[in-house]
Amino acid sequence: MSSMNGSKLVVNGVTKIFKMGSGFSRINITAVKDISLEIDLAKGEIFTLAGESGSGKTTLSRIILGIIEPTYGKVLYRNKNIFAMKRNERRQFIKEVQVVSQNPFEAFNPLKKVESYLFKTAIRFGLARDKKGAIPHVEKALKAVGLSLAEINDRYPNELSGGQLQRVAIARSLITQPSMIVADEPVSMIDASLRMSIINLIKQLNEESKINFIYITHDLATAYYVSHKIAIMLKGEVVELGSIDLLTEPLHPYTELLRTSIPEPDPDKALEAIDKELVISKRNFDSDFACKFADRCPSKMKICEREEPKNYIVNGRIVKCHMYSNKGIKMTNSIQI
Amino acid sequence: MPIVSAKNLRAYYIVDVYGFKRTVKAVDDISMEINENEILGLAGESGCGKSTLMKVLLGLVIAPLKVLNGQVIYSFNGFEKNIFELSEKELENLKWEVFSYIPQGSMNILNPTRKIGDTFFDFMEPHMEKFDKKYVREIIIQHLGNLDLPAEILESFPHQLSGGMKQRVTIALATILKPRIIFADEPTTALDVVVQRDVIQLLKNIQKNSKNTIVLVTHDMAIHANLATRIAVMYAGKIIEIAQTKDIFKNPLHPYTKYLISSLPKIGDKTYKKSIPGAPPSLANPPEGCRFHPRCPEAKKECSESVPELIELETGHKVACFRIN
Repeated sequence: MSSMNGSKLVVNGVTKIFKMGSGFSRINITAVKDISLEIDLAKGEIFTLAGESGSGKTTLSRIILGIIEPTYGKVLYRNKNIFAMKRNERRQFIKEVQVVSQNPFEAFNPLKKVESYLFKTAIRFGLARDKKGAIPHVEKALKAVGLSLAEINDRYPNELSGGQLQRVAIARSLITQPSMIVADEPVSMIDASLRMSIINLIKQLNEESKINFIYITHDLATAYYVSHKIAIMLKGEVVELGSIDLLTEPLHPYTELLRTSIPEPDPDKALEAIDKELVISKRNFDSDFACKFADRCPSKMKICEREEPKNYIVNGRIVKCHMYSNKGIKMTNSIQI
Repeated sequence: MPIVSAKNLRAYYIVDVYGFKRTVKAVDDISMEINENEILGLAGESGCGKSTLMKVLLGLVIAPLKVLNGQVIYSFNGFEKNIFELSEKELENLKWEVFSYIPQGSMNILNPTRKIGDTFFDFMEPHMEKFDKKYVREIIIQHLGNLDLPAEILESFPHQLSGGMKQRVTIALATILKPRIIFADEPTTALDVVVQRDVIQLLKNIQKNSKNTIVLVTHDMAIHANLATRIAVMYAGKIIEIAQTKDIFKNPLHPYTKYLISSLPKIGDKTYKKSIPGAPPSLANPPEGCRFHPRCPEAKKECSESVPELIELETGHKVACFRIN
């Protein structure tokens, strides 16, 4: 498409405020606040959005997919604002940016045969005129995920295991030959013994076909295993962003807390007892302090209560913390990494 | 002397709808012992029967679940009885005082229309000979203090507490009568990592201080590594390996356990993690012989013909595999 050029997906200062309730009990919830990030589609990267439940990672992914319109800011896909696209551009965007959802048992209609999703996707996006013409596309997509049409033909979702269904879901997203797949917790509902096979599949598709992934997860161990870059989210904000290796030596105190709280599958490395102050967070979404982590932060300073920290560039990462106001470079333009 | 010993337990879900009979062999010939003063972890993937095993050990057998065979013997202080032969009254007496149960998703069991304090009172009343509200309140506050929980939560409704706090409240409920055994089913699932770390710590402290037994069901091997002293690995309705936590992680013997341990991702380790081939079998129609043999890279002929027994190799390390004998 001539109007879509460039090779980047740019999220620029995106904020989403949900308005809840009515009349006097109206409240605003800032689910995502001033987030900027950039993915170079030509590189073929796996980008992880990590955070605890309620940190806004799913809202952000829905904004990137164009399902939710942000209150402020915009998302540019190949230099086009995805919320101001023409009909055919939008179609091209959906074709190139696909989604794999969390629970494969909910993603498929239990009354429909699973292969119908594959054929419909192929026909709807004009890859084939009819079912017969779509067979090669379907076969190719299934082969890429280690299945074949013979295995899933005429089967209903309840006849397949969670792992197989998630493979079919990934195969469906591959039919349009996307440049990017947004995968929201793709393995959290999968059995432990099959989990790594899905993660390895994502890794393989990324390495062999250069497909970009946005991998949304709360599981930092699989994130470290599979991805190149990571953004750590806390209460709707990105507090640290950079190469995945930031997990081994975190800069932001929140990343440090997460890192030390993950139980390791090694009996010699038991978790240390945790300070109560770190656990209990204020329940309301908008913390009283300017920095969202100030209510639990072990290195809290006076300034953290009144002034929202800026983004600083430290060792090639973006860190949103006052501790780095002297050590890091203050960012002027929000997008640099 | 084990406090609970299960012998040849067989518990199936038997569903008979309009003549269409279906049997799910969730617990199939399991024998095991639970010792005093230990944290026993039951590991295995979803649908392998670990929650069902826990329910059977508790005597919580509700149709369609049916115990076909075997016994669960509780023995302590001269009491020695099979839980399936107890009268309703006797079973009531055991509940919460001898064993307590933290069911899966227990943070959502609190009555939303009653204050936490009232829930505590409701819970305590049948277990007190003379119910003095003031005295009971003191016990509750002291117990909450021991678990580092603020007394103010007694005045709160469940919706005012966070998920982690509710989970801690249910743990407090389950431990207030100082039971000898606590059965906890996925007590940290659905909690954020930081809160999870705190709940792990809480369970550890409870066990350390009162020297009781915790039976912990979770699919998360990292939780087992942190909490359990001994681990039983289940696969398709059977225990295939049972050993000290260290041995399970450092010296796994069963091919399934080996795969399970080696496929765990860790931060700081980017080496390729092989996944287990195939998929777990349906318990309605499990394979003949060793239930892992269709996925096992080391399967021999006899693996598909007969069922390997759980054999003790070194002291305390048992494994059910023909290859290792």
